[in-house]
Amino acid sequence: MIEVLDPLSKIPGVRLAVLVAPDGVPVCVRGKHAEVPEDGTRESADSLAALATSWLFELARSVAPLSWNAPKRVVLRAARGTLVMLAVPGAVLVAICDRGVSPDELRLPMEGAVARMQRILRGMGARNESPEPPPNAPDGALPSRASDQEPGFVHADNRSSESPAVTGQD
Amino acid sequence: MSLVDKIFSTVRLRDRRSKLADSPSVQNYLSLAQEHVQRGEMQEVQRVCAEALELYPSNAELLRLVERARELEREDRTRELYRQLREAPRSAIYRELCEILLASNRIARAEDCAAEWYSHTGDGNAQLVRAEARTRRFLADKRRDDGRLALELVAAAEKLLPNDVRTHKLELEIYERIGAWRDAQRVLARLLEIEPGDPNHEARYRAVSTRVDRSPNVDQALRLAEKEGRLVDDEPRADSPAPSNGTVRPRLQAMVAEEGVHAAVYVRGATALVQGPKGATAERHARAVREVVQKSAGAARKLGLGQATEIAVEGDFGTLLITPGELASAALWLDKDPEDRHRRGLVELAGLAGVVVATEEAAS
Repeated sequence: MIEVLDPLSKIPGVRLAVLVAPDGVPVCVRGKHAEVPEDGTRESADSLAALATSWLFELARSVAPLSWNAPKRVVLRAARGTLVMLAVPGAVLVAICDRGVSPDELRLPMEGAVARMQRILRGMGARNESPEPPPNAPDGALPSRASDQEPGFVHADNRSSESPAVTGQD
Repeated sequence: MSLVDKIFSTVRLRDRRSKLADSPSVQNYLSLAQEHVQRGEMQEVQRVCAEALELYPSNAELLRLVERARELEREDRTRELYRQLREAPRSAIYRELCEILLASNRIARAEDCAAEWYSHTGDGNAQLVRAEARTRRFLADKRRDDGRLALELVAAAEKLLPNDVRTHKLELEIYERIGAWRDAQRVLARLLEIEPGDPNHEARYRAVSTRVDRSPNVDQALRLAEKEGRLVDDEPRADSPAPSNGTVRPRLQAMVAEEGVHAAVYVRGATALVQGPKGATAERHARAVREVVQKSAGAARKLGLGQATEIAVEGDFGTLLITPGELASAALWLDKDPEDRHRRGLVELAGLAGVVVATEEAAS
């Protein structure tokens, strides 16, 4: 995920970019203020992630009586900086930027980061679902189902099935 | 500046001085001051501007120029102090640097500098500056964690400077601003021990003693300050006159008449004016705007971003754009991206009831 957030965190004026799980746990943190000083005087990414997601859910609750779905993107401009959040399925992308930065300048980079993230996740999912092992994978310690052609070997799992568990020596 | 430039500049300077002697207008003062700026003579710029401001006290251009000259001078001095610190760090240089940073409202940098000062020297004054910086941040943002940390830093400074009234005065300021009267009374008693018979402390002690009975503890007071976004001695909100419906309604109607705008909402306290939706739907809109403003103001403070100035909520419903003001908030529900004129309209509307944006320190 680092390569997803890096381009976003390198935009001038962006102090911090955080990918947060929906429960407020930061998944990946990039940016100038990503490291917490020892004295703990500056906000850590953990508390930022928790506060930002809780605010997002509060907003969703506030607009729910209007029959509106949960917000996709929220911007909070304040005296000392701007918070931009983009909600995607299964994650929230949070960026904190300096006062002078327009949140609209972050729209495209944030959407780009989300698209890259989703592409990576799709790729990982596709690899996990692939039934065929990679071509140069080592052989397993036990014979696989495909190599059960040899007579005399039966998997232990199949012992309870109709076919009797008989080995060649018997 | 090269020698040739310097000669030309001296000629121009003489020329502008003689023009100013003939006609002491704002323009002539400004051109003389700008020539000094070119020569890097910031003291002279300030002197010329001070002279001009005696004649034209409210001239915005002169005020801007003098402020800019002061800022440039401070920057030069800051650079020099950083250079000296690299060569030979010592308390006097750190102290001056912190004072300059605090004066130029660069609070975060002042705090960092004081922390570095403390780590190098262990000086109690460094802790006091840290406490002062954090207190200023707390008073601006009303964030509970800032207040708590400021009090911890004051306590640390008190251990190092036990009989220094500055630490006690800073502590007293925090307690009085948040309304923790019992603790304020305790600090005033300590101040009277250090400075017995001080009429100011005695008067304050008597005033505070009358409020001790209904005093919250420090944690409750900090929590209340964060929740409400105001301190006990802030101006009462009811003081400013509410704009009449006749002022607000036409503006809301003009906004909602535009294509793509579904609703325009104005909320002040428990009163709301809504154009667009009707009946119960209008009430729901007003309630939603009020809640969003309340939650967002709290979130901005907790996140250390200061006072919220604009909130945009986007989704498949469109965009809800809100400008929260000190006393009132204005909101628009659009099905397109908001433009600058929408923002301006909301700022004007929210500003009818008072200040919209409290400008705080520049992000350092």
